Amino acid sequence: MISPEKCIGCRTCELICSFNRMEEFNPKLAAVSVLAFDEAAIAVPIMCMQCEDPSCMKVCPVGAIVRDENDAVIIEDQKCIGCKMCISACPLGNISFSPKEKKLIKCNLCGGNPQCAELCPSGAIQYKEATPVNLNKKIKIGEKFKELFGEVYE
Amino acid sequence: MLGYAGKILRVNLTDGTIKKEPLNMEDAKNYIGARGLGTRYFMKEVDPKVEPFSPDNKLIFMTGPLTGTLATSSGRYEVVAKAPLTGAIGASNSGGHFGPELKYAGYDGIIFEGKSEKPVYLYINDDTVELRDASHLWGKNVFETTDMLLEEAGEDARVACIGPGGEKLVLFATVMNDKHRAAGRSGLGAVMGSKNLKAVVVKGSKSVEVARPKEFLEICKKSRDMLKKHPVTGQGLPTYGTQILVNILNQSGGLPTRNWRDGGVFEYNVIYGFILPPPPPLMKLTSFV
Repeated sequence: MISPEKCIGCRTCELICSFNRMEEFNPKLAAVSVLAFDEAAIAVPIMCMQCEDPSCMKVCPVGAIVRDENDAVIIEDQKCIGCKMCISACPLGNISFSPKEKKLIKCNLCGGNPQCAELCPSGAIQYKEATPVNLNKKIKIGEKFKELFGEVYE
Repeated sequence: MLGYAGKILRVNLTDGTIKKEPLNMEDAKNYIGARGLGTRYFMKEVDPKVEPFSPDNKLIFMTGPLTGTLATSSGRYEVVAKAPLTGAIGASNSGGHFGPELKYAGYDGIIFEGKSEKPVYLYINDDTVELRDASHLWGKNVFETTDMLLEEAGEDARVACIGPGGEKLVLFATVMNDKHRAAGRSGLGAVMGSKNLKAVVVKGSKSVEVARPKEFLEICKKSRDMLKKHPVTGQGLPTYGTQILVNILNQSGGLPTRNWRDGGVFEYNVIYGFILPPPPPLMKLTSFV
């Protein structure tokens, strides 16, 4: 789960992502990127959304993209022929290619323990059971009501 | 040696030559960190009697071995030169994303020598390094300059530049990077202006490696937890910003007072940090790592 309003733009997620995969620090080889918008004072971490009906999976000519036991959409490196069709197919631009390893870079949820979520200092990236229909936003509105009526009763 | 990129750039602004030379590993070992190494290079190469605005003064940008890694508070770079404000060696550092990007481009530091005839800026994209004309940027402020350079170089570049203050040799001019961050001490922006160097633009796609990855990560996580648990770094700084340090430094005698004749305003009970409002939302975006 991503909460851009919490993101502070430190790019820790990018570093731990590349480090976790290849033991090197290189934000350009990370499966997550942080887009910072200075004027709006907001930064947005973007990574694979593990779509319900993934276009990348459909377009792969060799069936190298599958769903694993953690419900993550993963690329099986042994089957992948590096045609990069999935890069074009992803509507969110969340697959990239590492020329160094000759491999595709895509979030695989670190086998069920995403390191970006673990190290995120502000809680902008969290790995947890998704709550239905923006429950956290509703809770925020609810809290405003609570504050308002709380004052009245005091 | 891992951690270092192992290369520095030597840019002669007088004749426009750019050399890539190996980092002096012995110095890197003996003077660990951006400030130590930058100052070492400066002391070895520059005559101590040099005038700050003379072409013989050198302007050194330097990073440390941890810059660009996950180590806490490591995302900084240091600017070293003979300082116009003090007449002594000036070393000033700044956070943001410029320092790490320089490492990702494959350089530990940049040494600027001489003085350019026309306004120029240095463009670095991995192995492509060139001096480019900056006459259209001269006179523009930091925000305008950064925006124009990002348009030329691409959104993923990082810019360190000077504003009109640096161009006009204001003695306390800063070197600004990522628009909001300043290497503010001792007027090094004026040295950059005296060399007719408007900006440095960096784009990098290389990696920073460390020797023992697993242990390194463990130590990083440990130090992060320490910072998060400490009341000042965990709560005070994130809530109030740097101003929280006014009280703390005053109590510990480290608050520069009356040009460092004193280490604090002891006769008053300073409550400055707490009475100021929390920083505006613009300040929410932090430095690298």
